[in-house]
Amino acid sequence: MTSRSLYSKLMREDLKSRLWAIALIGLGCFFVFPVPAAFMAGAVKEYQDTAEGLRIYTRDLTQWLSFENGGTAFGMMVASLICGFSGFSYLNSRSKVDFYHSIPVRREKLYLVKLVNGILILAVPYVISVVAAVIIGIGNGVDGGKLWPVALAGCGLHLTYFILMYVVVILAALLTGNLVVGILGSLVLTFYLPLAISVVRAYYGSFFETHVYHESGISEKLLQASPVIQYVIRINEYNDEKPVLMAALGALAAAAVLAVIGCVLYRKRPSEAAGRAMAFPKTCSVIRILLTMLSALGFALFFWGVRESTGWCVFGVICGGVICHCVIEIIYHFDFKKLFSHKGQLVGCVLASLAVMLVFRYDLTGYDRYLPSAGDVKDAAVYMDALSGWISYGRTEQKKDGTYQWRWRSAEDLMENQDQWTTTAQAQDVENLLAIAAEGIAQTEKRKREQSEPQQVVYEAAGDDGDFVVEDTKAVYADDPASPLEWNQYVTVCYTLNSGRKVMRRYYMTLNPVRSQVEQLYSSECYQNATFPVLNRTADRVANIRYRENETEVAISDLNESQKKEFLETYQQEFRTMTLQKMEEEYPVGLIRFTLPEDEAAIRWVQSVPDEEKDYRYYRMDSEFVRRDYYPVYPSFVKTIALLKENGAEVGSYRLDVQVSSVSVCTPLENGDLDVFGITDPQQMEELLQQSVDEGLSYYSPMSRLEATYLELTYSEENALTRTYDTQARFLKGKLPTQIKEQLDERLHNHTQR
Amino acid sequence: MIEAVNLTKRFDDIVAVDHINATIRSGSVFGLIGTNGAGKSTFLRMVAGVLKPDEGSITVDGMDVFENEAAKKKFFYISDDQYFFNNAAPTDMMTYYRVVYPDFDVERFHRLMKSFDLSEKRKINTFSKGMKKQLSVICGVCAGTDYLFCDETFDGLDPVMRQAVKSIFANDMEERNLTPIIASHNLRELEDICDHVGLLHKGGILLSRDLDEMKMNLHKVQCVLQQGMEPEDLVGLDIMKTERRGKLLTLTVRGDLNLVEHRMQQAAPVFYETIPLSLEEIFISETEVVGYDIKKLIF
Repeated sequence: MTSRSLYSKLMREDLKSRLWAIALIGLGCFFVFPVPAAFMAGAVKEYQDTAEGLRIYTRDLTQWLSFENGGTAFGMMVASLICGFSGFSYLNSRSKVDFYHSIPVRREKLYLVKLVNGILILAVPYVISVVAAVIIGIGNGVDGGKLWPVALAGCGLHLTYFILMYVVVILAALLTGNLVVGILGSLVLTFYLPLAISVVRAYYGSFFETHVYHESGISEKLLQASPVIQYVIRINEYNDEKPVLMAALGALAAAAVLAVIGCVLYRKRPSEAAGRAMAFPKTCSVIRILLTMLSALGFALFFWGVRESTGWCVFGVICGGVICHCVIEIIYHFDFKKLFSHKGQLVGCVLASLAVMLVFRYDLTGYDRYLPSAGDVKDAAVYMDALSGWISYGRTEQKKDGTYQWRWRSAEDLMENQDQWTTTAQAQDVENLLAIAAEGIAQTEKRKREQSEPQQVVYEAAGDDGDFVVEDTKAVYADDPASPLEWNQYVTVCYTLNSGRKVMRRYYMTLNPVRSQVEQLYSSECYQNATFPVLNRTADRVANIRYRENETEVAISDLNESQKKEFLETYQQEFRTMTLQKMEEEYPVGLIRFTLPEDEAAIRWVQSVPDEEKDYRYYRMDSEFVRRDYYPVYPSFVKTIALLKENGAEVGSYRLDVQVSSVSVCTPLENGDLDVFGITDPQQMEELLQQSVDEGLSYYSPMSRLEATYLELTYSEENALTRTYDTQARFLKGKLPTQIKEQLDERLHNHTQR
Repeated sequence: MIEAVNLTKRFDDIVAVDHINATIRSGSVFGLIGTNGAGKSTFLRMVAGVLKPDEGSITVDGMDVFENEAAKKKFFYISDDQYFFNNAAPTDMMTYYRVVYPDFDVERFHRLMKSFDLSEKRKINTFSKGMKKQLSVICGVCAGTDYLFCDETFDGLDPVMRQAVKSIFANDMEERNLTPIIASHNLRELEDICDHVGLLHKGGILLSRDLDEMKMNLHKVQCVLQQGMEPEDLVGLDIMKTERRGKLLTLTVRGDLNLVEHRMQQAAPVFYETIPLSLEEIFISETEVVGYDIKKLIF
């Protein structure tokens, strides 16, 4: 008998014994693909506008059959368990093992037969069902030319990740000797690494104040070692129209490698493992230690989250370690009396977990104190929330369906992955950055010391009825807001060491003590180029120039290349001259944007939405594409302002084009209350508005200092619906109108009297 | 020929088979006797290539068994709890066995199923324990292999069926030199079928002998000696055991039957007769010699 015919006969016979799995999966596929396809087709007929109905049907069916269908992914996960255990659960039964391992068929052949059949059991009904669904779709008017590629690509990609998950299930079945333990084993193989990484990340996040969480680095790659996580990530990437083919091929290659490992394991798996919890005794200790330590550290983290106490953390380690160890021992031995049959390992795991916890708790490795010497730093990057939090990093992208999305990138991601995101070109820049970091470390350590000191709650006195009396806060107006450099904000630093290693830290700190270093760094060309994307923009990529002031937008679109170049370079030049000190003294008059062609296309797309279709998604898109990527125009940008005026923008003369119905003057008090009084005189209202500035612009000018008192304006706007809006206007520091100041003094006096 | 050399298998701390050396000749019926836990099934599972020996080797016709298709084609293994596919009928099992045993005799299968009065279409899970054993034996003999390993296969067969199976074995041994290896905890089951018996105890083999050889060399003599004469006075007899009931002596004597009778005649007892020993009695005598109380082991 030839080997091929033996294979096919064995496969046929094996399929006969797995008919229940075929029936179950076949039925599932039938109800998941052809039935919904027909069901959705019925809904088309309910539309009066047939074309619109067909468009919606095409969209829904395409999404349903494509890789982005999360429901199919869930089905694949369940199917991988069914196919894996229906094929290999015989290894858990002694009589079945005796049968299969005594017949004259090599184990590799048996393995291959079971492996391939498991794939076919899912693949054949799945593909047939998808093909049937596509045919139903085409029969109902969907363009087959568009539907077929999406459906077939979806088939291929879903099957790829099914195979990856399926071989992981097989590995779990081979490593264990009991169905329930096998299912638990599948969960361990699939989710241990993501869980462990999450716990480690949580430790960094909980105990190290300077730790930066960002979705990159080695932990992110390890996270993808889980087939399910990888599957979900690829689906998200597919939704985001990122390429997934190479990743899918990688997954297929990984599945092939795992299948080969499975074959080796199958050959080595002792037949006597049937019925035991673990097939390979050597794996018992490894898995027990890994799970016990993870559980101990996880419990400790939970108790830290609840109480933030070292004692509770220690309790968590002991509790988590002992519980997990005992559960594993029960599973291993199927005997409750064997709870502590490996006491040494239990004690070792608990002590090791305790050591890890204490290393994090007391920062024994000096993580938060890390500061390289200037000689060790090749270059570095810094991102200061206080000064550049208003910048949007990313780009506009058009999706395949014609819609647009903003592809956001975090500053941390850019710092770690883009070499051009270097903010220190000169030795002095590095020195300045290290001085900022040293100050950050000092402030962090001080804060940690204060937090670790016992907190004492002092009650002033008890009233007659026994209740504690809280002393009334004096009615004092809150002090003026401090300079942004005095606020506690995040400063993220990324060092590239001479070895090429990148180290990132984030300090929650006030920048005032290192103001001179911050000013020097802010003025350096390298920092500016890295931080402000507009400074890297070239005129050939600029489509239009847009100017925005008090909700009025002027688009300058009729410029030739040289005019654009002149405009852009003028702004870039003037923007570079802005120092922190100048920013403190000036307040922007408006905002400018140098749009790219794709930005303009996205804006046109958003603005084409009819009024009646404007919903929450419209306003999200509006803020994504229409209001993003603006830069401030300060009064000192005289050349830029001149160019704007030359091109029709009446800089400084746009007023909020609404009828303000009421003005409230709001002043925060020290005790947290808000003092509010209204202005009703139209002339007084107009005068106040004349002297106020658009609060929205302060977002783009972080050093600007404003009075704490602000105006709450209420106005109506006639749109599709008449709506009432509230907005705020502010006063520059020291420019609070006299009439308000007088009224406030009087109100303060009255408050104190009361 | 099947040859085990220093064959050893451990399960955690338990030594299930402990350095067994045994040779099983082709064309004979080998009986493997032992109590529960003696290591019979483990030995057979190693011979069948299910278990991998921890030490030593096991060969079938000179070929290592473990993961060797050629060696495995030479035998059919019937375990003590033979597996049949879920919801399968005998024909389904036959179809599968046909795939893996190229010499499977389908016609004989149908014939034997009929003669054993077993329905080929009926679900096996509705069969009685004995019927499943019969089906296993039928599949085994029809597989056309040189060796047939039966683990407690006769346990559960009624005497008629046992005889029928024995006659099939005898026929196949005659026609195609089949070598059945039968493991059992019941010595009486094997008495009239085995040519050679191996006694396993605590993983080791206590003895391995040809039954005929044992029967020819061991005899029971009942006699009444002359007044004043004692068994020790019987010169030239290798007396292994003496039982006394009044004047009647029952002697277990090792040696050639003619020689034993000649010595008895020389001693001129009042009365004597030689009686053949049952397999059970032979085992009792043989194992007592090596210091074991066989009654505690297998009866």
